[in-house]
Amino acid sequence: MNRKLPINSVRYRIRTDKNGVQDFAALLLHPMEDGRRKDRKTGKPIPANYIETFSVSVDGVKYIEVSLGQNVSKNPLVSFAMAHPVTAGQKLEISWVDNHGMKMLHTSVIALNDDATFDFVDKQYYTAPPHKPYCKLKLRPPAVR
Amino acid sequence: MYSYSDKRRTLIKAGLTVPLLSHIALPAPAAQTAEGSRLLLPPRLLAEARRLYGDEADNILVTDRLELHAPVIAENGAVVPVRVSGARELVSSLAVLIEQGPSPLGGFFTLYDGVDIPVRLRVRVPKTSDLYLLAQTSQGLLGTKANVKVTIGCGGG
Repeated sequence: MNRKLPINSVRYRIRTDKNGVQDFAALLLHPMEDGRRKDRKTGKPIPANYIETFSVSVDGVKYIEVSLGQNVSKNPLVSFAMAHPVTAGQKLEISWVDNHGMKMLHTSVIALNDDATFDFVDKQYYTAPPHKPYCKLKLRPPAVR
Repeated sequence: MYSYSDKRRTLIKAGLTVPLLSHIALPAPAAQTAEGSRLLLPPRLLAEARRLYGDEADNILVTDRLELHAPVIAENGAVVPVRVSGARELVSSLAVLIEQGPSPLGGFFTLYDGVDIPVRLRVRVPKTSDLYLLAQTSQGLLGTKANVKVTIGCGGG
């Protein structure tokens, strides 16, 4: 991916394999600073900035809740399989809270991508100013290909 | 043609390697590997496990019904893909612990009804380290471990 990645946005993809199992993957675009790195120019430590909790729900039903921390890589990818297939048109909510208390809520209408390519369906994104206390944003449904 | 002296060389070599090999490949302690035995955590991770699971963390059983997949050799410690696979019906929550991380917890997953295994996450492993998987199940706390060898450090410090 050579596209420039805006921070505080989410890309997700739901891929169906040949057995009909849906695999959900979310790429959270976040610096995930662990607080141990130093700025190469100024020599000052870069303050820790990482996602603490991340959750996914479909049609208001919570599916997964993940506690992340300093050990998670930059732009973390969280992925799981769906126990029951979701259908296009259901409402997907992805939310996270970072260690500065910034809350993000992304809502989107599910579109299924049966292609085998690792391409995130939702190409719409929103860049929020960092550390804004609360930010609610809505993603437009992805364009039909 | 296999001359007498050649054979003698080989035998001497073989005789030399046997004690050396036995020296390096120490038998792993049975408590760490056998199915159903107790998983021993390093003290730092044990404290974290107690924080997550309470007193149950003192009695973690080794399982082979859950697997922690991580690369044996990671060229870039900043992005190490980790995958948990196995029997979903047992599990209500998963924890991935990293021995050498800045903090012990990699990720803690609470799984609800709609979610199935495998679960994937990308973690940061600053240096060669053991990764531990703990799973809260109907049969108590289960665990496995995996080792990741990091050849180039990640951008920590």
